[in-house]
Amino acid sequence: MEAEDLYIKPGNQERGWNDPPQFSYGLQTAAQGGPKRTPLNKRVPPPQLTGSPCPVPGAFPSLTVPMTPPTNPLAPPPCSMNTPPRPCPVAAPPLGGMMMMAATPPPPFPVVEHTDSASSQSESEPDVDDVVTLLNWALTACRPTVKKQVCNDVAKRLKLFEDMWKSGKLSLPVRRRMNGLVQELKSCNWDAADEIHRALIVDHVNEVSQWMVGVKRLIAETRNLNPDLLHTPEVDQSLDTSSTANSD
Amino acid sequence: MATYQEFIQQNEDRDGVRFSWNLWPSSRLEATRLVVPVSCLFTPLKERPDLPPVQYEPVLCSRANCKAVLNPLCQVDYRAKIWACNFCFQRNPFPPSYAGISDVNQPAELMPQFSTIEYVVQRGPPTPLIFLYVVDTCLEEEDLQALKESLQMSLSLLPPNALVGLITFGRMVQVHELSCEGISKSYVFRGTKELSSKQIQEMLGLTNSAASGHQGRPMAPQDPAVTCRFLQPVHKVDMNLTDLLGELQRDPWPVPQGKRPLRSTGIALSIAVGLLEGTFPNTGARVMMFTGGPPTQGPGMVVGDELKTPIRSWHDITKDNARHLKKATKYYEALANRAAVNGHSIDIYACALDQTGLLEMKCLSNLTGGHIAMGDSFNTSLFKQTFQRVFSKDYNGEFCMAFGGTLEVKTSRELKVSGAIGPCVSLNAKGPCISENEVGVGGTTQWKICSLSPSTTLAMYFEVVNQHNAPIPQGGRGAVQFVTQYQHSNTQKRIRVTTVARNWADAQSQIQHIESSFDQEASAVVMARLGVFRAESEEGPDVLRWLDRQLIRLCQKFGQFNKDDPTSFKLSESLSLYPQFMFHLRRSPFLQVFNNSPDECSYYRHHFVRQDLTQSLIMIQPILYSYSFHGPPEPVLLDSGSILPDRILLMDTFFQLVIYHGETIAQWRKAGYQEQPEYENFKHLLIAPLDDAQEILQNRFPMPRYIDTEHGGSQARFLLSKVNPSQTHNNLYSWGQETGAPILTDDVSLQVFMDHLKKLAVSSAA
Repeated sequence: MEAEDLYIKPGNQERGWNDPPQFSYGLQTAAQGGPKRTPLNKRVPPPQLTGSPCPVPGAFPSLTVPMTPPTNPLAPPPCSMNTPPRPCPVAAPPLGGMMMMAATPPPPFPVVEHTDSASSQSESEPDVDDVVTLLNWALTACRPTVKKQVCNDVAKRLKLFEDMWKSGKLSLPVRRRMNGLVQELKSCNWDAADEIHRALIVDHVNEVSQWMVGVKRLIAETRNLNPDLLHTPEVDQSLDTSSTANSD
Repeated sequence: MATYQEFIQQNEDRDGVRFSWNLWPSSRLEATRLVVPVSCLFTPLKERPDLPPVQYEPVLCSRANCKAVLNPLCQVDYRAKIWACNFCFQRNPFPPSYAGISDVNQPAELMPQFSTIEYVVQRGPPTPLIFLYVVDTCLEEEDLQALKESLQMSLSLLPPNALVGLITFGRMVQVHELSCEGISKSYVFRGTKELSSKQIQEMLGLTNSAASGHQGRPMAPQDPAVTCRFLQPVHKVDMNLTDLLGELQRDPWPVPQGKRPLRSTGIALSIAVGLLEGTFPNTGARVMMFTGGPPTQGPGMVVGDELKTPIRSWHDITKDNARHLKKATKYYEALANRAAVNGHSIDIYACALDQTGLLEMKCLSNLTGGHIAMGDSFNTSLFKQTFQRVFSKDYNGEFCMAFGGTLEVKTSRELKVSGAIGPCVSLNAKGPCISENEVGVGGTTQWKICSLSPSTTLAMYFEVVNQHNAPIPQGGRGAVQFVTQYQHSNTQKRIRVTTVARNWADAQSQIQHIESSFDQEASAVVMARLGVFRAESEEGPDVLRWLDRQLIRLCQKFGQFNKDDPTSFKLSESLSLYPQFMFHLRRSPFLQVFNNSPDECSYYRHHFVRQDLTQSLIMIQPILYSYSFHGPPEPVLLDSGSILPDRILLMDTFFQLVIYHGETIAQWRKAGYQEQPEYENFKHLLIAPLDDAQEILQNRFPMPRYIDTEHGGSQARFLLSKVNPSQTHNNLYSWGQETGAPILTDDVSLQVFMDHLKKLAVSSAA
């Protein structure tokens, strides 16, 4: 998963007051099941019970630190003095959205780990025909054994996907990630392909909802095929053609 | 004592249990004098990444009214291959498969580190999980579109072999037939006519064998998936269902000016429950109801369709002016009980600007363990992400939901079970461990929890029944065993067994040891749940008085003081946080209902009585952390004195996350210092609370609201109303000190509360 797929968008403040920010699927799944940082769950007993004379809460910093802002009342302390003992966070790769969330050292933030060698791909525009060809390869492989109705349904949705792409209705992240998906399909990495489809439908539901279920079904049916069927002469032939629609 | 803290934490980590007392008073009389009952919080399916399940059946005690599970507390004679049940002392032979055991070759269930152990068992053919969507179509266009998209998305998140169904409702109720081919059909029901379960099944064609073989293909004999056209495997119907969802229209019945849409929620739910009853009784199933407004017609209606008649408020309820309340509540309670009997849970996802009737419908989720999510609109991040998290997965890639849970509790004979408070129903199982004093859901030692997550937590209350001056039982320890049977999300049937023990202590001679074993956090939560349980049936002020009385008694028992001298009063460390918890509990939305609508109150209470200890405490007394240049982030008193100009505060109330920038910080931020390189440390300071907030936002269910505010901001009220008003317009100038921000309120402050408490505790007149 690319770094650009780990993002945070602001919530919908028009429809919901104090709507929380929206995390991309990638960020969500990385956070779940990962090790948690030290939770914020400490409390402070009230001074009346511990014997200190008067409640000046938050006064645990040492007495040498002044309670009023330092020298220049108009500006915060500059870096050279009073630098707090916090490690400087690792600078994050560019994150979309309005909230700047710095990636900090502890493990749960996947941002650093997932910028792999495929990052060069994110700069180039994927080719629609390549993607469609691979999808049709999988569909052709399914035709002999999977019900005709199902295949036609899938084909219909793949066509819709292609049309939307060609008429510029799909955003770059969707196009790029679909390219990634078909690469995984080609390499028979079914789980990886499935995960990309899930990430896409969660993050971009309004762009993909009409046709993504066809891709989902295609992955499900293709993974169940006898592996021999993936490379019959007709199927391999379809990999070479650059034609789009492939109906029976 | 530091060692008790570690002991408590280790036990929670391993067994998911936190007891109010970790040394138990050995007589009933002494137990009542301790004020807080011997009780615990128990998380049946606590996440245990390090606990692999074993693939065999648990070994049970052979005594008919015992049947406790073999556990590390049992005495074992390895040579004779016999074990003695630690609950009833019956001697049992080991089954033949255990012939090879010895003290150097122990089975896992006898090892102390496996006080909690999980068994995978075979109980009939695996049954699929079922998700039945019940969708309100009386929504605004934007909301309906957002909801449709979320539902389409969810088809990709469901477990792949799950069965899925769709019922839509508005003025009428439509049950959609999900077929793989051809024209989609649906069965339409009037939204006003109540039907029995049998009638519903007949009308849907489910009661005779004509229903099977409908598709014209041969039917597998034991395959329930084929027999029901309304609940089909998602991997078969996903494309059709996606289209069907995409084509859903708003309810076509026009809504005249000044009227509400006619919403037949009651009938829709009754059909859902009846459909599942008839086709998949005793299988894990989830009814997921999505609604954008209150039920306005048919049984279970909460308000009429005239907009000029508002939905009931607390004022209406106290004046006995809520026409539909009793009848609607009764209707939904009956539905909830039917669902619970079958192991089916009901979720409510309610998104609207006004109330939707959660007060009446809450039992549907509370009795079955289903979720309640409450939002302003389906087109919000709060709803979308909360809904996504229903399908979240754990470290193993498995879903965090479990179904059809039953919990059975066994105790050693000096202890009896008074009851449980949490998202469960009684199974009315009689047995020797039942106390006559019922607390919460009592009169039983077995409960049903139809839907569970790794954080679902029950509060269990016990009674010590040993007579005063009876000798301390042999072996000196009391034991409790929790046996939870459930259906895992991968459809396996599992049994998790947790067996715990604590030492008995004579309260006369060992009161200080008992005191140091007090878990003030667990005690605060079990007492709070008791308070909330009472508040549902008693008057509010009575509950507060009861809570106060318990607190005063506890302080009288354990405080160190000179009689009639309040200034001498001290509490030991193991109790020092407890009064503060009670102070905040009294002010919390769980007991102070008038600041919130009846629906909001139901929502807050729903989450309160099922969360684990850490989250429950956050709800009682929000966490407040202070960020500044003076040092690392630190917890600070939830007090107005913590609000300082050069601090950023992060407050977590569980339902809201508030980041508050002090006056000076806000000015610096506005001036843009964080953009300048020489003030990079200020940029880091601004980001630090956001980082911590992000972790909470990414993990919590349900998603909290997020408030970024500053001194003088209108949203600052969320912080100001929670902090104890130690300085009000009444006493500002008598303090003589100008730290902190004054709060304009007449609430009692923590100082005043503590002063009163100390006065009452030390008084010889009490």
